[in-house]
Amino acid sequence: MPPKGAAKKKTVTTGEEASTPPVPTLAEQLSYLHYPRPFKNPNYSKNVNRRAKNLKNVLTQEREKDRAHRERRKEAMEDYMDTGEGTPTPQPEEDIPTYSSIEAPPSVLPQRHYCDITGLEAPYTDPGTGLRYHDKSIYEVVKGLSATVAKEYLAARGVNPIVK
Amino acid sequence: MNEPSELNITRIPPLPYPTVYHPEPYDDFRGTGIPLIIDNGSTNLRFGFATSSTPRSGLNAIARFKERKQNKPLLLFGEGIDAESGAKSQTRTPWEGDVLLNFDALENALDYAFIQLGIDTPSVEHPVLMSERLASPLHSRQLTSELMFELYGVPSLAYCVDSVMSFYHNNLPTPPSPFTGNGLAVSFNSASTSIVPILNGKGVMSHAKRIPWGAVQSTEYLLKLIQLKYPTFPTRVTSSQTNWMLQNFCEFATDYPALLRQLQDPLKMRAAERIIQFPFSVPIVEEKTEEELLRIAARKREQGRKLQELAAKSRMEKLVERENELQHLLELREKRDLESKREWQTILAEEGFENDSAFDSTIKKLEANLKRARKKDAAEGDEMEEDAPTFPLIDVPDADLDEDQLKEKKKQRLMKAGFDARERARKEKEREREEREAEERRDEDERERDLEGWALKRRKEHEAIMVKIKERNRRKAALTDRKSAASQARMKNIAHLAADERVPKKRRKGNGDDMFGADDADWAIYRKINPAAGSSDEEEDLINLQMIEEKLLAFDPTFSLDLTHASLTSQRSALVNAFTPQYEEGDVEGKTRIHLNVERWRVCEAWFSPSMAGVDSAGIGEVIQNVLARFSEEDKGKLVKNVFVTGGPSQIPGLLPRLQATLRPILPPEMPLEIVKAADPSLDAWRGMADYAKTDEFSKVVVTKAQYEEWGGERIKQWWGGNWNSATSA
Repeated sequence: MPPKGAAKKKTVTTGEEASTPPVPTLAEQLSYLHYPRPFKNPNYSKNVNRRAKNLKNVLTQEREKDRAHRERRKEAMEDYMDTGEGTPTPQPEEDIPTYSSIEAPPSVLPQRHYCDITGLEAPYTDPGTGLRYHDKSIYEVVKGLSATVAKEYLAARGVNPIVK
Repeated sequence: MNEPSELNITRIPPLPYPTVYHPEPYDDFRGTGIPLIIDNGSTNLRFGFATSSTPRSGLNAIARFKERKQNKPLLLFGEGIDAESGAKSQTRTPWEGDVLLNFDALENALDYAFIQLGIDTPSVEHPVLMSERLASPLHSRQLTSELMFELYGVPSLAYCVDSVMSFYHNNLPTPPSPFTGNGLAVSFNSASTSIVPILNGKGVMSHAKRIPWGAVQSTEYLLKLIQLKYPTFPTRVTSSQTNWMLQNFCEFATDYPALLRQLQDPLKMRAAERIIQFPFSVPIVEEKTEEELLRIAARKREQGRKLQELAAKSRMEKLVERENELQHLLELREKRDLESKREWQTILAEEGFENDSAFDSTIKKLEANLKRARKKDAAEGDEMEEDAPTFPLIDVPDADLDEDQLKEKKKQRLMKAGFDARERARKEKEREREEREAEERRDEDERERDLEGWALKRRKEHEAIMVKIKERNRRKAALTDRKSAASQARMKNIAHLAADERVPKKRRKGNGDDMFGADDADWAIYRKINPAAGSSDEEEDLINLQMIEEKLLAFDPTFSLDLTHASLTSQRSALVNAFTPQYEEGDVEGKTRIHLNVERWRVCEAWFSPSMAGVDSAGIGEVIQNVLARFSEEDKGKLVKNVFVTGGPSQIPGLLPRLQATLRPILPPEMPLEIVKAADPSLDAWRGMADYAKTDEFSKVVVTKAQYEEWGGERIKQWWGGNWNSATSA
């Protein structure tokens, strides 16, 4: 926690004598490490929970919570229906959106083939490497590529061939 | 789209010098309770009071870094990180792609924001309106709330979705009527693109969709394409440079397939390219002046001469030494004739010779050596004229000779054979030389007589050889392919050779030997089997080809360098040349250029079809279609009448026409479609938030500290601009 001390004096000295303090570099001028932060609550202790969690963990945690919540809601509804008492929690008409649920689905439209080398339309595919190419002059280039380069081209398209 | 441009070279701009900001005076705001607006975006952090017209904005990244020179720890924010090169590796961003995950970084970023606003009260005494992403995970929200309430002590806090607020700003209702806008907000963010329908002033979050493709992914895709196109580029291309390229040179194509068909033509491709010049350094070539060169040459000659003198001297010394030895041995030989046998033997033993004949042979060797050495000194480089050595004993029949003489005879026969062979070889060489000269003379005569005919004949030969080389290459390539006819024939040959039926049954009973090899032609089969054979043929062909080419180049005016075999094989098509123009070897400036032609549109096309770049998701067009499909016809009409585009990347040119072209076909023709861009795509979200915070509704929507302590950080009040999820309450 930065101390609640006096602000570091940001004097930009113009003199060049050795007695005056050296001119702070740009980085030092930009740094705000020693600025006072009176607005911060000194009693706040860093929550252990706050360590940066992995995105995957966060998402799975979300999913679990969501599922638990749904279960509870369903049980409440069933309770209501069985016993006829208790307040029915109205099922919302729309589903509750979560981070994962609003993700766009994969495309169902037929995909166009584009040349891996040039980006133009690619009616042809090289059977050996799997690269798509535009015409026979590009095919000469494709023939001359090494295996690693061919794999990089495929990776740019998102095809990761598994080496047996 | 394809405006004709000449060689259009732009240089990479140098990094802008970060400015030092001083905290603003706080007196105007102290104690007023004016809401504080923080637009926490994945690229930029925008903050300010609700009454300001523009927010302060900075790159949302911090770096805590220890300066090496003075060992001082520093904390830098945003663009300031560029000031220290070492700080860049320590950069931390609160956002990891799309999700707020790093709260240490967020704390530091908010510290910066509050310091810059000059807040000096024991806690932040303003209600805060913060933006969060669409359908933010509860974890993110909980920890942000914790930070705000517990660390900074804000009295109340509300969250909103940035795209909806931007929409609000551009469709401001006249007060005091509530917000009842309708429209479809398409928000382009750094790591995603979201589509949010807004009906009757309420954001319908449940029908919103998010595409995991944004500016960051586009930049990476462009960088990957550049690296594939220029694998040997001398300098490193950084993401920020690629980002600059994306912002300045890329556009959306209104009709991508038609554009590609146009670009097929190499001329159009060159017209549509943009050239970016990277910084380069010209290597300094030490040009030695003429005198220097002369001096160096003279020095080398001196050295050579000195060495020669040394060598001659040492040879002389050795010669003298050997002469002395010979003298000594000759004297000994004379002595032999005088001494008795026993004494002779002891003398020999002293000298180190085994017996008489050894002694004699040594003497003979020394004499021959001396003779040769003396001859070399006398006449260097002269071919030794061997007088025809005489072989007297060969003609004498065997019976007349005794043992020693027989041995002599054999020796002489061998020598004679060697001598004859050498004579023959010499004569052959002479003959060949004469033949060749005759041929050349004939050729020249022909050429002088009839240039055209000669040229034609040579051209035909040239072509024949090239065809042969091509054939051989094709055969070699065919052999590597397992299924081709050539390799199958090869396997058949091998199998046949190894089979038992090679030897007919009758023969096997007799001696059972395979008669392979008796006939010389059999060995030719190895040529066919071994795919690597034939290299000597190749070399011969290449040599012949070169000779013919030289002659043609010299005498035939129509035969030029690009018709030679070498240039024909390494030719690149016009298309490839337009795509990646090549520069000469020494052209340092040219080699640090990047030509962007197809990539300018290809990268932006990925927004509409992310599967091009390997992301398994639908594109903007398809997602909008899906979103609209969930509404009734009437609602759909309301939504498409006001399609609102916002977000930083939406400033890439060509977006609106493209959206129009994509959406128009999927809607019924009588439905009016209107697409609108935000007035200020990057800052309008903040402005919308500021506008909203000034209304009364804001106070009803915030979560107060007391409510936070009761419910925890995840629950928020559901309102038209905020997220919904299971933790919301009415």
